[in-house]
Parts: sequence; structure tokens; C-alpha cells
Amino acid sequence: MATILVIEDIPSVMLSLRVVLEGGGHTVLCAGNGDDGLALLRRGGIDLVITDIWMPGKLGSAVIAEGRGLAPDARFLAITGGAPNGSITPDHLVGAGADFGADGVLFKPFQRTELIAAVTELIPAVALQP
Amino acid sequence: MAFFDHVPDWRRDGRGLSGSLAWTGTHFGIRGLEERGLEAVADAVCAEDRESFLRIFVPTEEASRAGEFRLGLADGRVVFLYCDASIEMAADGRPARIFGTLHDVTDRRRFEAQLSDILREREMLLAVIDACPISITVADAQQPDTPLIYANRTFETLTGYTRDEVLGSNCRFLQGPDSDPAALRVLHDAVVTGSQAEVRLTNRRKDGTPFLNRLVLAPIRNDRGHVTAFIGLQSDVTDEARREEADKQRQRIEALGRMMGGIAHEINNLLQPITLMTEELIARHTDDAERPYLDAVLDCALNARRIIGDLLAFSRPSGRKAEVMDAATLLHDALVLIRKAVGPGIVMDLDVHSGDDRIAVRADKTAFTQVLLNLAGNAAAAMGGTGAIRIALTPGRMVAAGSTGRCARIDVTDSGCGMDRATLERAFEPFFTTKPIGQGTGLGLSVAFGLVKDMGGEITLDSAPGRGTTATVLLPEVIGDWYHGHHTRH
Ligand SMILES: Cc1cc2nc3c(=O)[nH]c(=O)nc-3n(C[C@H](O)[C@H](O)[C@H](O)COP(=O)(O)O)c2cc1C
Ligand SMILES: Nc1ncnc2c1ncn2[C@@H]1O[C@H](COP(=O)(O)OP(=O)(O)O)[C@@H](O)[C@H]1O
Ligand SMILES: [Mg+2]
Repeated sequence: MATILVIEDIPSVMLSLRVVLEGGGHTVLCAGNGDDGLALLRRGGIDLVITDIWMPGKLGSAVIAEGRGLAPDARFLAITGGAPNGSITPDHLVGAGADFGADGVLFKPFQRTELIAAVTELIPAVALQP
Repeated sequence: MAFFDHVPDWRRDGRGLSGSLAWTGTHFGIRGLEERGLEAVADAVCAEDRESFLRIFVPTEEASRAGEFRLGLADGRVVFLYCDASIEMAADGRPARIFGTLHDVTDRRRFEAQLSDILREREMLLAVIDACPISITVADAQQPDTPLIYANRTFETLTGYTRDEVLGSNCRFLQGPDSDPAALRVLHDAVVTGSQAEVRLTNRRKDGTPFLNRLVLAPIRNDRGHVTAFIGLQSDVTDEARREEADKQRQRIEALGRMMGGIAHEINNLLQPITLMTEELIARHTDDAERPYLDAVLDCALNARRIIGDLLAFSRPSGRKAEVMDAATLLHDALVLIRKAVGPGIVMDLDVHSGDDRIAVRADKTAFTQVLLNLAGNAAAAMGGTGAIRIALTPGRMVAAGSTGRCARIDVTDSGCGMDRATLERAFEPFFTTKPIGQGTGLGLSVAFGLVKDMGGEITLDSAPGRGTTATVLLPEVIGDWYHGHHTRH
């Protein structure tokens, strides 16, 4: 199965993602902020990065932009529930590229089947070989 | 001054100018008096005055006459002469002798000319004040009850009263029961203390229609500092106030939208683990007797997600697909669905007035249908489920970035209960509803507001209790390739 890096600042959200992804047989690495996540990505071996967008410190969109340089083969899935001050507006999205530069976007709260479908679609076929 | 004594020689000159002239005193700058006599005077007289000059010499019955004429001198000076003449008649009725005095009255005339300049200037100022596009009134502070002594033309057009009707009366005849008492107190104090004041208050025209008057009162003082009069400037700010009110409401809603976005972020993050872990547990406990408990939790989480989603339609990106299309087509397509949704008691009339002059707008079909559905739903509810909803499409105007200034105006009109001021003010607020629990969510209009805003448009309400309601959606016209290809103008 695949090795998935999850970058998410809220522990309970992180836990729920890990539960589902590990339940699907994947190896899950966790980072509570963008810089820690990029450090893990730099070590290599990661097939898919799932990152929150609005986090204290580095924004998910910046993590994706930098991460693509560090791991050209990795795919990126953005997950977002909007911004704490409601400031992520359509204008914002257009400015940032509506998909945050990711290969896919899920809006929180998404369901288990939506997550599994997105992961299955993004992970390279080779990584899915048992 | 000069004395003259002229004996005309009628045989030589039918005008009576030739003859012998005796002249004593100043020549007033006239050249050739000695050699040419009255001919020289006649030559010096300004062309415009020649006739009045000659009239002094023509045959007449009268024994004396006076007249005035101007001399235009070689050095450019103009001299005003006053002539006082006596005439001795010959037997044939023609003057045998004309004699009298000439006075230089130039200084006097020049003063009078200046005076008339001043009068002209005064008249001009009055005309300017009269034509001013702002209403100007003056009231006499020295007469009892400060009556109006002047009102310009704009005052007449603004109020519908003529000057004759109002001069002499105190201006409070414009007030009515809806004039703000606080503003009246301010005016009263200003008049009593002789100070300046500015208020906005509702006034009524002669025909009874109300308007919001921005009134500026200013005292005029004499040299000793006593207030002798007041100037009152009136302007109709009804539209301005309405726009300000709409702006304020929009800002309030946008602030609320940002707050909702913030709350939604928190709740979405809370719902995420609830949803995922409940579903994970359901997946692991498929045949468990306690599985219904988990289903109930999941159900709640999904319901909460739906409500937040509705809220965000009003404050957050939706990832909708906007396309450029003809407003009439958009409306027709939406109505097909809406007719099914509103129920059998409701008739929907559609009026498309844009004709061949199509208006292209950028809109997401589903979102637009949702907007219209929410508006029609409200209209149907306001009419108790039976009645007609009129939907009209007309070309309108709005200011929007990247737009032609033209827009598609869609009016959804019902003849239902209407809204009072308080309801109207809050109608767009999320969760504001006057409907019983279970019937209204209070999200219909806030969602419509957000969706229309997403399309770059505007939505407004016009309503009064008992009169019904018109909801107006403005969508800016876009000029795109589509438009050029399909647009025809006759
Ligand atoms: C020059 C002048 C213009 C005025 N114009 C208006 C007016 O346009 N509308 C209005 O409601 N009151 C107007 N007023 C105020 C009323 O005439 C009156 O002074 C005011 O109502 C306060 O007096 P009261 O309390 O005795 O009625 C004007 C007053 C003055 C002196
Ligand atoms: N066409 C209308 N006629 C009368 N009142 C209306 C109309 N549209 C909206 N309202 C008022 O505005 C309130 C808010 O409307 P809305 O946001 O659609 O929520 P809801 O319809 O769920 O109450 C309604 O409860 C009602 O009082
Ligand atoms: Mg509604």
C-alpha cells in the first residue's frame, strides 16, 4: 500500500484521518504543521500528501508549492473547512488558484467514502500493489 | 456750457443746419464750428443720436424744446450734451431762430450708467439664485413667526408649491406627522437662538408625497450682530438615503457572512472526526445491535454539515460553474423547475421585455434556479399558497466592475402580506425568519444574497405591509465571444 503524509493542526481531525487511512492498509506519517510536514517530505518515500489549508504558520497552499519541488513524484490532496475569520473568499481562491495547487480538494467535513475515493484516485497504481 | 444762437437759411438747406451760428463758450471738442457752423455739430453727433439732435431744429409749433445727444469726438471721447432751446417761428411755420444752452452732462450720465450696471448685476444675481439647482429660501427673522420672504424656482419644483402660495408663511407647512420630532426641535432651537442647523426630516410636497429633506438653516446678521433673516437650503435626499441604507445593509450582511465563515470553519473541523470515526465504527460494526446508535450520530453530523453548507452558500466559495448565457433563456429554464416546486395554487406569469436586445449574463444555472426558487417560495408563502407571482425581465443599469453598465433586471413580485420596516431590515440575515418553527429556516434570502453576489449581481427588496413585495435581482451584462456571435441590434 501507499505511504501517506498527513499535515493537519487539529489532533482530533488528524486522528480520524489516520484511523481511516490505516484501516485501508496505508502507512501514515503525521505532521502538526507545514514545516514539520515538509521536513518529513524531504526524507522521501511519500506517495501522497494530505494537507489542511488553513493552519497556523505555513498555509497548506504554500506547503504544496514547496512540496512539489521537494517530491516531484508525490501527489497532493488539499482538505479545507474554510478560514477561522471567514477570510477565504472566492477572490482569495481565484488568487491562489481555486485548487490551492493540489491534485484534488476535499471540503470538510467529508465522508469516509469520499476520502477513500480521493486517495485511491491519487495514489499511483504501483503504490497500490500489495 | 455754451450758448448758441442759430438763424437757419432754409433756402440753402432743407434741414435747417445751414445759416449763421453764433456760439459762445466751450466747443466741447467739436472741430470746425467757426467755419461750418451747425454742420460741424451735426457731424460730431453720434450716429445713434443724430435723429434726436435733428429734432431740435425741425419746423415745429412749439416755442421751446429740450433734448439730449451724444458727441463722438475725434479723440474717442463721448460727451453727453443736454440742449435747452427756444425757437422763434417765422410766418411760414419754420423756425426763424433757434437759441439756447448746451450743458455737458457726461458725468451725470456716466453715474446713471453705473447705477444701471449695478441694477443689472443685482438682477443677474437674483436670476442665478433663482436658477440654482438647490432649493433656496429666505425668511424674515424680524417679523412674527419668521415668514418666508424669498423662495427660488427649485423650491417650487421640489415642493410643488408656487412662491405666491408660500411667501408670507412659515415654512413648517412642509411638515407632516412623519416629520422627525428630534429634527423639529433642532430647527426650533436654531430659529430661537439664531444659530446654524442641519437636519434631515421627512417633508410633504403639495400633492402629499413625502420626501426626505436635508435642510440647512443659517442666520443672516446685520452690522450690529442681530439676526435679521435666515437662509434655508433644501435638498431631496430620498434616493441618497435609500442607497445609504442599502449599503449599510449590505455591509452588515457581509460582516455577518465573514463571521459565519469563521464559525463554519470551526464547526467543519469538529464535524470531521465525528463523521469519519462514526463511519469507521459503522464499517467495523456492520452487524452489531448497537449500530443504529452510530447511524443516529452520523445522521446528526450530516445534517449539521448540510446546514453549514447552506450557510456557506452565502459566505464561501462554492466551486460553481458560471457560464455566459442569455438572461431570458436562463430565466425560462429556471422557471420550468420552479413551476413544479411552488404548488398548484400559484400562477407564475413571466414577462420578458428585453426583446431582441438580448442581455448576456454570467451565471450558474443551478445557483440561479436556487435563487429564484427561494424568492418564489417566499412569495408563495406570503400569499398563503394561492395567487399570482409576476416575474419580469427588463434591461436595467448597474455599476459593476468589467460590465457595460447595463444589466438584466429580474423582478419577482407578489401581492402577499408584505413586510414592515423591521422585517425588511433583517430579511437577508441568516436564520432570520418570521415563520413558525418547521416552516422557515431563515436561510432563503441569505442564500439568495450570497449566490447573486457570487454572480457579481445585486439583490434588493421593496415591500410594504399589505402592498406585497418585489424582490429585484440585477445581473451585470457581460460582453464575451458568445455575445458578439449572437447579438443582434435592430
Ligand atoms: C428659511 C427657513 C427655511 C425653512 N425650511 C424648512 C423646510 O424646508 N422644511 C421644514 O420642515 N422646515 C423648514 N423650516 C423650519 C420651520 O419653518 C420652523 O422654523 C421649524 O419648524 C421650527 O419652528 P416651530 O417649532 O415653531 O415649528 C425653515 C425655517 C426657515 C427659517
Ligand atoms: N415575498 C415576501 N413577502 C413577505 N415577507 C417575506 C417575503 N420574502 C421574505 N419575507 C420575510 O423575510 C423572512 C426571511 O426570509 P427567508 O430568508 O427566505 O427565510 P424563511 O422564508 O425561511 O423565513 C421571512 O420569514 C419573511 O418574514
Ligand atoms: Mg424563505
